[in-house]
Amino acid sequence: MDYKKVTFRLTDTEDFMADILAAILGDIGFESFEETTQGIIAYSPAPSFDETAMIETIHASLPELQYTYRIEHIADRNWNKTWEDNYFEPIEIDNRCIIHSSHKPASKKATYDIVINPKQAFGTGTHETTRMLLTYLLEHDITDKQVLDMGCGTGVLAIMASLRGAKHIEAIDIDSWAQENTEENIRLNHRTNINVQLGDANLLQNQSFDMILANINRNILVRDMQAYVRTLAPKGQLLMSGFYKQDFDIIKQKAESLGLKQLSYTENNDWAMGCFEKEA
Amino acid sequence: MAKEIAGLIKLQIKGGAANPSPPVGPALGSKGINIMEFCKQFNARTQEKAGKILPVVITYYADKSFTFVVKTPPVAIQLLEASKLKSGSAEPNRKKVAEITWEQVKQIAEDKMTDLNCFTLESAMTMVAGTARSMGITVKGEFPNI
Repeated sequence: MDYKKVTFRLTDTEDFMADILAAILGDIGFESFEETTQGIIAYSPAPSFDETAMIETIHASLPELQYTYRIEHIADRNWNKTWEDNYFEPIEIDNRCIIHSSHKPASKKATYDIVINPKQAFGTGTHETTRMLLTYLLEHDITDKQVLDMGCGTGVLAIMASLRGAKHIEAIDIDSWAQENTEENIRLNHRTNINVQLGDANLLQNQSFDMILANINRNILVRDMQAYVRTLAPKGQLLMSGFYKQDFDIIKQKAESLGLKQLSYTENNDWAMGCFEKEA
Repeated sequence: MAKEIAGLIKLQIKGGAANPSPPVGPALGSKGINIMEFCKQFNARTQEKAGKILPVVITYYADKSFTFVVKTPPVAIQLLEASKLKSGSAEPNRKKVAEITWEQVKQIAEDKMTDLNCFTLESAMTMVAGTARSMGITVKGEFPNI
């Protein structure tokens, strides 16, 4: 997404005015800020940026604030490219799987050789949560299962599910970089049974899955868990990760309130994964 | 041996909402740091404060790894929320735009203790009350016994 970078220079004000200005701008769609010696730099997604509304809001909240500002347009691009091209080293999972980019070929053979050229999408196998889910897919039989990869990122989980014999995989992500990247990685790995969609849990209508993989975050999982459960077949499994172990109780409580039964719990470096089953 | 520090970046990001866009993308990406890894960690750590603007100080190292510290929201923001104000007074000494209690000052001071480098709760409270006054917020009553 394109962004607007607004550099504010504040004059004749106390230091805390920059904090207050950030709070006000945060309420009208600005996402993040950088402190400077003379004020702040504020960032807003370009589509929601409205210069007139910004000035009116500042005037209404801080009528006597003395400031000047400069707007710059920042075009969308892959900000993670330096790491992806130079520092993403091949990752080995469970002695059976190697994930690597086309820039850095795997140095040895593995049963599952997965090529992931990440483009600002999550899921390279470097993260604990991805590794726990990949290990689960390696250790369990998923032959002929209907699988949903919710928040697919690079598509690495969907690709592994396909390699492990799943019948069909739906891969969904809310981010257009992830959607495109999953499609690219599916082609790189010659998979033909994965369908990619851009969107969120609202896409889950009239479908039935035997297994749902959701590596997202605690709040989204709690918010959307009901939609996942609704689309899960009887005895179907919901695997959730993307949260720290201290947040597992919140996830578990929500899952149990929706009638799910905990099958397993795994943790790695403070990150957690839970597997739950829907009743028959 | 300690890792070689390559630099520090200070940002303010909404809890649970870090993404690879600017400023995170350009700030970290140009250094060869895996932005997606930072976003995953920051968002997981700040789920409890989702949507609140949080200062974060990121240290990055020569080996492309990073660590970061998430601070509590700035004192001025917490004072605004506590006093339910839209903004500070433009003329702090004349217009008293809002009031808060010493109990609220104490809560903010406790929350901010570690960031303020204060040794005692009293000194942190005095600092918070000072910011409140300069924002035109009156602190009601007497300094409490702690």
